[in-house]
Amino acid sequence: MNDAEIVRRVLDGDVNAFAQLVDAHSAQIMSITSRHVPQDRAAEVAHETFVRAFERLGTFKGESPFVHWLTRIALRRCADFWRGRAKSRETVFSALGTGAREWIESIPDSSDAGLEVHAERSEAGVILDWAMSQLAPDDKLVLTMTHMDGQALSDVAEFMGWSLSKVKVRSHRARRKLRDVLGRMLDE
Amino acid sequence: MDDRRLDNLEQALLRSFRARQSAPVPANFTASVMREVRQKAERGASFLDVFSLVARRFAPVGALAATAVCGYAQFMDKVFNQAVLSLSMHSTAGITLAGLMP
Repeated sequence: MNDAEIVRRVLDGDVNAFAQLVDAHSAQIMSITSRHVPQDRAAEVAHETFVRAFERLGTFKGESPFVHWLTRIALRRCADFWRGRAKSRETVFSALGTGAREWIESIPDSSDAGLEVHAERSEAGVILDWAMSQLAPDDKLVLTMTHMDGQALSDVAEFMGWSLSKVKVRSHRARRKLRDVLGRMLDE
Repeated sequence: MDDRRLDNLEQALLRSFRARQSAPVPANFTASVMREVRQKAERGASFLDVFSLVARRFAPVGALAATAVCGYAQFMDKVFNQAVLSLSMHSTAGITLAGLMP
């Protein structure tokens, strides 16, 4: 039975059939939420995604694959997560502790030798999460998908519901903003 | 700010991101989602039950009230038209109406 048939069954009143959709797509949705929100909150956002999908199942027209429709909901949930945490953007970099400061200071200024070792340290993840949290939710999403995940711009445009040119412009601007944040971090 | 150092910082963070593992799906994930989904379905169903019960109970009264209001409005419309016609045909009313004219 394909996804569209399961959706039809759920809409006809067989609520338990929704479990098949959750089982089939939970790993993929978790991989998306893991990349867009902190790891310890990924399961919570994935859970909200499926509950929201159930509430809005009547709006699924079957024109695109169910997983694309579900991905769009997951991305919106991720953006909502960051909107809800807008206050955390006010956290100053110094609050991350001396470990983060030392990590920044150890970044070489000539060749990129040894960057792998730097990237493997836990401070890198903490600093990246902090720097990304300084961006607006949509900037963060589009930058993660285009620049960091390397997804095709046309896919990003479909998931975000944007035109291709808007994705290009927003992605470029978001990267510039991230570099501004990182630059200020280096200057501190 | 040193551009080379900034590039290196960006590259290190990018590699850190790409090395991240996806969080595993919790063991009871489907069960917890379905628990909430069933609650929502039951709440939705109970709302529809109450709504249809109230609608069935009050539909005759509502229809009767709507008919009465429409009938009353039509009746009052006729009375008002009749009054305007009578006034305009009556002599004093004619004077009054003529006095209002420029």
